[in-house]
Amino acid sequence: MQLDRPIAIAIVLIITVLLIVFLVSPEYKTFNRLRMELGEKLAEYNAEFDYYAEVSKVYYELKNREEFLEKIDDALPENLDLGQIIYFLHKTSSENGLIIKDLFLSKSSKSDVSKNINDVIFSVDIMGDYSSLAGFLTSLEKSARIFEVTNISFGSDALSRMVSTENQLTANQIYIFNLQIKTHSYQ
Amino acid sequence: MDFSIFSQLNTKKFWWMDVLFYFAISLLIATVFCYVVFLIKNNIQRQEIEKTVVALESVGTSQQKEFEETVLSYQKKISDFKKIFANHEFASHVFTFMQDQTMPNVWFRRFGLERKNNRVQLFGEADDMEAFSRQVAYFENNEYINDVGTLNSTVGELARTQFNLQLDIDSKIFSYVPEPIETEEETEDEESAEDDKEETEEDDSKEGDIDEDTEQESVTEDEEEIVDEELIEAKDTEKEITIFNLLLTPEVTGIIDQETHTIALDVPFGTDLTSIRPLIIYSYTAKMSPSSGVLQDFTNPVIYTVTAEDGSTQDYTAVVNVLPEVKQEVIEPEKKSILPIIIFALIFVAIILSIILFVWYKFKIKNKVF
Repeated sequence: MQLDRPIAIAIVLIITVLLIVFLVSPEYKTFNRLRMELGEKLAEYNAEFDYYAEVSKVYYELKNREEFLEKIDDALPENLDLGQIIYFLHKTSSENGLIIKDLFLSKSSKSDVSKNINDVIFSVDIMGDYSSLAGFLTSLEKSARIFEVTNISFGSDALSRMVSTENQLTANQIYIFNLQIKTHSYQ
Repeated sequence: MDFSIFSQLNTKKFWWMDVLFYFAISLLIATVFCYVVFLIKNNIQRQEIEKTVVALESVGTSQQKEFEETVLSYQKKISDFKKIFANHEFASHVFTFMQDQTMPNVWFRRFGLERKNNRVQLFGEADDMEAFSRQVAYFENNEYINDVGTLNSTVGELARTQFNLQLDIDSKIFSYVPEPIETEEETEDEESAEDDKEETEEDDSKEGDIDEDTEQESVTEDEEEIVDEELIEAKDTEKEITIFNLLLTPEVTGIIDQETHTIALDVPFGTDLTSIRPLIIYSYTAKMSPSSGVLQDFTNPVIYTVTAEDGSTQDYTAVVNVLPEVKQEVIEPEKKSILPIIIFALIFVAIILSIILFVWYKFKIKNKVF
């Protein structure tokens, strides 16, 4: 059986087109997709490799600055350590010539700054003179742990002037200061 | 139009018909070849992907993962610490401010500071209404006080003015730095006055007619002078900015030149320079103005003044440079470059094959004829 040339050409061309459309083209698309996927995976691998190299580098840099890390650990401890806080407040107040009359934990809530941190607020009533309070506040502000005085109120029927002249400041005037002290911890 | 050509296609033999036929056959062969090549290539690529996935899972030793955990934990901690530190406010600075800004003939009975509402409540007395009005005007014109509210005053006993004031304070009051009062000349004057005083005391002691009270006072003064001198000696001279970052996303770290006292910061294209919050770490005992965490307009260089404990100052100039726009190149597969090559290769292979087949066919016919 001999097939006509034109018909044979037409059939061959049709088969070729069908092959291109249904076999070659999908394979070509798969080829491109796989090539892209392979590129992504290789990039991911390289990035991961570089990442761990960088992590190791940063780790050793942190090790070299352990002193600073300890300060951060002190400033933002994992646990609240209520006992330590109470001890610190008592010690600092007595060192500055103040007497703690009342101390209670008034509030514990999530920090506005970071959701990982808890804000703990103490309400403290302390007795002493103005210069002692100033010393106490400075000690709190310079302590390793972060303390922030959010509210202060005090008063007396006698007059006192807030001036830096020592005689007028001290004036043997004893107040009861009400302070709200905020500190932070992770738990 | 002559349509006889179509009937002639079946009856007559055209050379180009043979060429077309063999071209079509060659194209078919090339297509099949192409398909096979793609199949093999895809298979190889799949294997490579699997290998890469396995390699990805094995990246990072157990030690490196431990390091990662430690680093991430500290990263979080440092970030939290930075935020807290940037928002940390010093209540003692409010007292320093009040001490500096209270007039000599004004006294306070009660004091209340509410950090949450940035409010200070004051009850007190002034010598007279004039002193009180001056004090209020002083507060009103002060940059650290936004508003003077709930003003209430009455004239009490001894013609003194009793008052009740509520001050809406600016949050920058928590980083209030008192202006240095003493100049070098004043210090020298004081020193000479103290010398004179000492001389006078020595003279007086020689005369031997000092009563006990005066003696006690001079002793106390001497003790105070010694304490003051010790305090002056102990005062820190450090006034360095050690870290200067801009709280953008991602955070921008400034390069601090401690010789020229300049801070260079490069921010991405399109960053709004008019309102950026810097995070600045400076010498522990020093004070700085403007303070860290306060929004700044960095359109022009901003000068930060660090005041050491001993009163000496150092200016740092922060210059923010906006980086030029970087057009991100979209990584596209070489789809457009490969497709024409494949088509070209296909046609090229088909042409070569058709020529070979055509030549072979003609050679066969010739051999039959002769």
